[in-house]
Amino acid sequence: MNLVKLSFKNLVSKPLNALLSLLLLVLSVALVTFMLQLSEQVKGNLDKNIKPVDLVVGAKGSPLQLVLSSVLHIDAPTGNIKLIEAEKLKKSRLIKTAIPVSYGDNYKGVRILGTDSTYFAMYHANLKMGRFFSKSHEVVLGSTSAKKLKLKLGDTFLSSHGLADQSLEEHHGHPFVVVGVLETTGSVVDNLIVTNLESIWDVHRHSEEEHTHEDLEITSLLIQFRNPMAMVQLPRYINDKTNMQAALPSLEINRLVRLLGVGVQTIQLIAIAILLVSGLSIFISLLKAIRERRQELALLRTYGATSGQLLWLVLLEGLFLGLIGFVLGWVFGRIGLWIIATYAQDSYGYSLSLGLPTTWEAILLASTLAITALASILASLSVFKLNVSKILSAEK
Amino acid sequence: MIKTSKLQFSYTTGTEFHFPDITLPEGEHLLILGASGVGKTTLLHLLSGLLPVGAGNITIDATELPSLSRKQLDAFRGRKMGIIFQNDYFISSLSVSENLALRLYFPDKKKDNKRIRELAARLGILDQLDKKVTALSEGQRQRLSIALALINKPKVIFADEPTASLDDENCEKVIELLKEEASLSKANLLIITHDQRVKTMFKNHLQL
Repeated sequence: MNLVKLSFKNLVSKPLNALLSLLLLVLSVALVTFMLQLSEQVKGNLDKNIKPVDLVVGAKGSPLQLVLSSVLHIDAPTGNIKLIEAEKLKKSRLIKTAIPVSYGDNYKGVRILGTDSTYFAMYHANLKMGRFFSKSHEVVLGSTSAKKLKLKLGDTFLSSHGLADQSLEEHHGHPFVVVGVLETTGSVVDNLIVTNLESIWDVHRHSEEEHTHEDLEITSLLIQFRNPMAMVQLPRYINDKTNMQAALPSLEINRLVRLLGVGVQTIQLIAIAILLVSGLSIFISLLKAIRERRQELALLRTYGATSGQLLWLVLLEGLFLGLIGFVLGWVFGRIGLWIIATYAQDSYGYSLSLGLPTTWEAILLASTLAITALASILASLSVFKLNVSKILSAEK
Repeated sequence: MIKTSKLQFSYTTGTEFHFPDITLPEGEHLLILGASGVGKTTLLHLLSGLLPVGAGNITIDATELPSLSRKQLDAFRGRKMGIIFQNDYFISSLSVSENLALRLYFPDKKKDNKRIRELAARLGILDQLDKKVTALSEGQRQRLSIALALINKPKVIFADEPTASLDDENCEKVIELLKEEASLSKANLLIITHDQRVKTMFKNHLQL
């Protein structure tokens, strides 16, 4: 028998006394860890995906929508632009690479992206099996798409019109064939079906009419700059002199993250407030426990325990509470993250990992323990004023 | 061995006590009698160091209590004294054996399961060791209080009204048990009581 064991037994012998404090603690830790992980991972994910693209050129509309649709593939496109105009722009000496992308179809909710082979290079996507497409209606699958659709090399499928699963109209007569599967990149490519531009044009061409080069359209152009000057000149030129729109992904995503950040900060402030309230609650419940156990504490003094040892006893009980609360809160935070991750994967093809414990979480653990320790010490100061003689001579 | 001289104590309420000098050689027993309110419990708390000495001196086992610091006094009490209170107090979250082990833990972090089992067997509570203290009967609680006062092999055993709630038969049993256990470890036994039944069972009396 020792102090650690005794404080633990005291804590669990009347679990209801500490339940409220524990619940508050679990709630705040769960909220903080969940929000920290979520915002860090979403930001990390966004940064990774937009990093290769310096500029997106597409139809006029919301610049954020243009970035979300063409770079992150989670929104509807703003419209289409003429291929000729895009090609004209490509000749600019400010541009290192310009990758055309085109949309319009999905297979079971997975977007089919028409582009050229430079797109793979941009995201450093390598083949796991098969080969890249060489002619129309050949597709390469991102690793997640391949898993989700259960397609393998040589399989064929018919696409549906639109970007979401719910569209009923199927394009008959234009089956796609799987010729390659990509390695996992951790970027948006994992969640796509990639084909060439001609395939997209073919599925949307009505059989009777012949398209000329002039009619051809793409959704947008993903641009990498040759030098920093381009960042100043190119967007202004495109927005002023053409009927296309230029959007800087880093700028738009920063704006989005800032907007989300306000929400994240609000929730974190609430969580910190709950943490402080839980500290207060621990203080009150320990104070109550000390009052209830006054006679037991006095008894320990007659056994030869010093006041300092009694303080330790109460402090340890508080720290146990803090530790249990933190561990439970952390687990609940991760369960929340796992639920959101599953949802995000299904709805947006967005992958979140469960995440290893971070430095922030270590700091949170330290602050949780510090708050519970402070509450316990404040509560237990009264053991120094314990009047052993009076308590033990009073009638029970 | 216990020796007091010119012992005085006054409460902040103004009540003042002057106690007669006590000299008790090693192994001797003493019955302290008195009506309620004459300061019996106060004397016991002074002797056990739970109350600070107002004036005068107490020497127990060659140590002067007033010369000890608070911390030293706690440790001294833990090592040399066993106290049976009028009400029985236990740690309710612990079992019988854990209560006994805790009594040994302070102040020297001692562990002695053999001693616990041996003493429990002598007091007839061996089969209660794993029970929660809240599950004990009145008689078993009494025995556990005695066990708690004896487990650390004290030099002095104090008992405050140990027979107040007992019938004649059990009263005699408990006193016999205390005398027997005290003799086994050559400890001083000091019983404070207003119970006239106990009077005939001791030869040394002190009337307050």
